[in-house]
Amino acid sequence: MIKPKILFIFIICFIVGFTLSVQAKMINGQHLFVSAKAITDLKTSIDSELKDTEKVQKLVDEAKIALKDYKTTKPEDAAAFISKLSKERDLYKMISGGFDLRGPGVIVIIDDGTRDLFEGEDPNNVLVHDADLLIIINELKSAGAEAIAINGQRIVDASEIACSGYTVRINGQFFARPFKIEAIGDSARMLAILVAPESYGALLKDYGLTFNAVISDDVSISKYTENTTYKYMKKS
Amino acid sequence: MKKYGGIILVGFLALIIGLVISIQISTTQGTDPGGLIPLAKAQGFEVELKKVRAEKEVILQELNTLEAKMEEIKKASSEGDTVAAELVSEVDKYKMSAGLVDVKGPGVTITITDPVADDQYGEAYSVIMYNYELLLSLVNKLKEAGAEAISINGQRIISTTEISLAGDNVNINAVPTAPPYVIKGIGNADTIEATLNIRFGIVEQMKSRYNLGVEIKKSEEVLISRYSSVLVFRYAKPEKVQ
Repeated sequence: MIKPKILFIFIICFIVGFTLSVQAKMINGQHLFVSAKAITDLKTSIDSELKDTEKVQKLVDEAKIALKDYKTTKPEDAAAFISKLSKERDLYKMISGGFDLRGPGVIVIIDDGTRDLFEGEDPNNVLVHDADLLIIINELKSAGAEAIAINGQRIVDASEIACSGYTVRINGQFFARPFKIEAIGDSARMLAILVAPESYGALLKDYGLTFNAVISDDVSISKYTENTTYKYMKKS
Repeated sequence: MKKYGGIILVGFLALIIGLVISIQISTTQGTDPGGLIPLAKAQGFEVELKKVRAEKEVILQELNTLEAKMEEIKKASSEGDTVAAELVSEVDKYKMSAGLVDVKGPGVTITITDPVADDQYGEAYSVIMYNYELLLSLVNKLKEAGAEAISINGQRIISTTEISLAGDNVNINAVPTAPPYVIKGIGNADTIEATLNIRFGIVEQMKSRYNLGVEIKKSEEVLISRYSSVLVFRYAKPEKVQ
């Protein structure tokens, strides 16, 4: 016969074990299945908002200074008022691409590859596509480029780079190979990012395309010449 | 038999305890390092996110008030002065095309979500973040379709906006961003929607090849906030005008 004591302990242990496993599976009330990714995403979103707030704070500070500046300008001092306004206008005009710019930077030449194809290889492998230009431009921007032009066409906020057959359309104008990208900014930093071993330029070279980046002390970029009238967006 | 009764019982108990432990381990560890997280902790993050968003709102409000005051002063000072009035309208115009004004208009809102992670291979990384070229390409498609203003997760796309993978983050305007990605565009909503949804186009590719959730919503009014950083040109100088 099994002793009642042992039977008792057995039952207790069984119940405890059962409860434990049930606990682990079913405490929805206090636990939630959250993947590590969801948590990092939340954290990143918080970081993002904090950083944004910081930036807006800077803008607020700047606006306060500007406001004070305008307030202290005497109403009868029209000349000072106008000079302030035109300074402001020039800054915004410069940001929106309204001025020809000049400064140190880099010049990148990208062209189709001239090597023979392997048997059965896709000819697209040695041709320049819109995505290639898009990624190079993006790399330049992340390296702090202040102004960029492709084949003399200024890249602004609304500039599209679209492959259409043999040509690439930029700002509604058509361009063909070779592509000459000019950028004004911190030339050393831009070049470092462009020619880094894992950069996109290195990849293009591996495919046999021509990719050539050089520093220039004097890059000049012309202004955006298309008209900018807005049909859909309004000031809110 | 009676002699071994106790040992069999102990063995049985050990088996049960072993089972319990293994269940515990498999539920808490698994393949996903996230696993079970106290609800309070997850909620804590969400509360914090709401809090920082509210803080940002407050500061944005302050900025808007300041700008409104400035506008007033400018308007008052330029009254009766055609040169100044002309300048004020030019400032407004260039400020708008520089992306420094909140804008609204008809357009689309595109929401991109990561594939739902199944328990077996819980995605420890974000598909859309590691394939950020998709965002780049999507923005380019929007521009092609004539979008006049675009933003990603509240970051206005201006001429210098980069979308770059830095470590584990995708930085846009040097601000780290995380999924879900909400891309807004103002323009002809039908054209934009058709451009994106074309057969074998970018949305189809994102859905079938990357398993991403893409939702495009057309609306009469899309609000896009301004670029919110101070812009400084350190290298570029305007060419001397002759």
